[in-house]
Amino acid sequence: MASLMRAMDLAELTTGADQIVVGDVVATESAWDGEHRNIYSTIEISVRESWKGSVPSDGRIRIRQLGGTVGEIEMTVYGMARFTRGERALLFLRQARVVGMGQGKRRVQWDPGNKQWLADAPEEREVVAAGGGRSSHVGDAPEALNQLRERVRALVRN
Amino acid sequence: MLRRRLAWLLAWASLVAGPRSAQAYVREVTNSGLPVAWRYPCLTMQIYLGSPPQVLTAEGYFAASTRAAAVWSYPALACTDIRLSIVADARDSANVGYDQNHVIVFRKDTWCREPPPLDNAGVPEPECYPSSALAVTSVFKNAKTGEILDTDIEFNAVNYSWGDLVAQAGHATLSTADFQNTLTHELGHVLGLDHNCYTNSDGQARLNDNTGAPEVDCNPTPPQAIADATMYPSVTLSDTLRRDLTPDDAQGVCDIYPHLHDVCPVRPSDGGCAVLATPSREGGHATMLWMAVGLLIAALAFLRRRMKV
Repeated sequence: MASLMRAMDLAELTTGADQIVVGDVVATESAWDGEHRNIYSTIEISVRESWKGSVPSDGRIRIRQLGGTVGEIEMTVYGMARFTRGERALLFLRQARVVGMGQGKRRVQWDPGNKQWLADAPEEREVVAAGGGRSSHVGDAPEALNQLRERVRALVRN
Repeated sequence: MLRRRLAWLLAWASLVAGPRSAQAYVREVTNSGLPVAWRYPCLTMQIYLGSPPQVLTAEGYFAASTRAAAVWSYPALACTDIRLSIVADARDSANVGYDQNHVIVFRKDTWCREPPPLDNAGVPEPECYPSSALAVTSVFKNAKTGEILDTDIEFNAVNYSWGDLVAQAGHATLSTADFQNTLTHELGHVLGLDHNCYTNSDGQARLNDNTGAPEVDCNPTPPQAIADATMYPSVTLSDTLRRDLTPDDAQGVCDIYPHLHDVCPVRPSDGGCAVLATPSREGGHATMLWMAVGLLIAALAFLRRRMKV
């Protein structure tokens, strides 16, 4: 991956976002930029829940980010969130970009055993945790979406 | 460092004694799952040091980047054909993107991609990275073959300083990282290595390691050999351990780019035979195939010259 990231905690992600939603990836599309130097992907999200900010009346938001595949060429910017059509995710967004590159995306999955939705650990390729120790653990355990919703809403209120 | 030496000794002992110890590295793959690699093992990256950011001097950055490149390269790593060299450029910075120039640049004024991408109407569309990103590596590859075509590394010198935390431990601050340590890891990605353990959250399916087994979990606590490797995904700012390869890191680059030549082979475009870096695990067979194709082309060229005479 290669992109080297400082870990952002939930408060930092929440503060940095102007929009926090849970939604389904319904479409992705990639294209070269005007100079044929970079590939951009546009990801269309169907919003299921909005935790911060407003959502357009059609319930769809579009995220734009570097990376993607056009024809034979694949551009990867390590650290950017990866999106797969059909997946559900919690997204921390600012001006239609994912906050903290991949850190602002958490995949949401149904846990049939406990009959609840779980949000994965922060999506990041590399984390540099400031402080002592030689190496830190990567990511955290999944968290119940209901619990995470309350934590985020409390942070938004504050 | 002692642990590294012990790891090397244990790896060597296991090779001599019989069954090999578990060697685990993971290759980068395309979206369709093809392993990626450079086709040509001699690779040059330009580092732009016109007005270097704090803390190192231009000479310090150049020396550190040369050391980082050398640990992945022949002859320091005798089992590989990779020759990754660093060339210093006296200019301040360079553009990144798909242009076949492989650059290492520091962003000092704004932490944004340069030049700003243009939208389809030709209007600049600034692409700025979050301050939490210390460095960003981008790679272009052929999605159908896995061949790596272009790469660039951008360092964030707006929010962070870059030092030598081994020679000058006094450089360590809350926002200073070890340049050589970071670059060594990034160069592993440049050569086609992925992180050596699985995080359940990166949006990518679990890959197999070189043994064919699913890559181990990074959490909660991976085996020490995984956590110590240069390609481990998580480090602290003060980390300097990744400057040196572990046996697993070395095995990875040597399997992808096995040593075949004592001098840098001539590029196929220059009339020499192609060699090389095979996108598959059966590197030897593919390399032989490339060599056979190269020999065939050379023979045909020779025959054409004879016929003209």
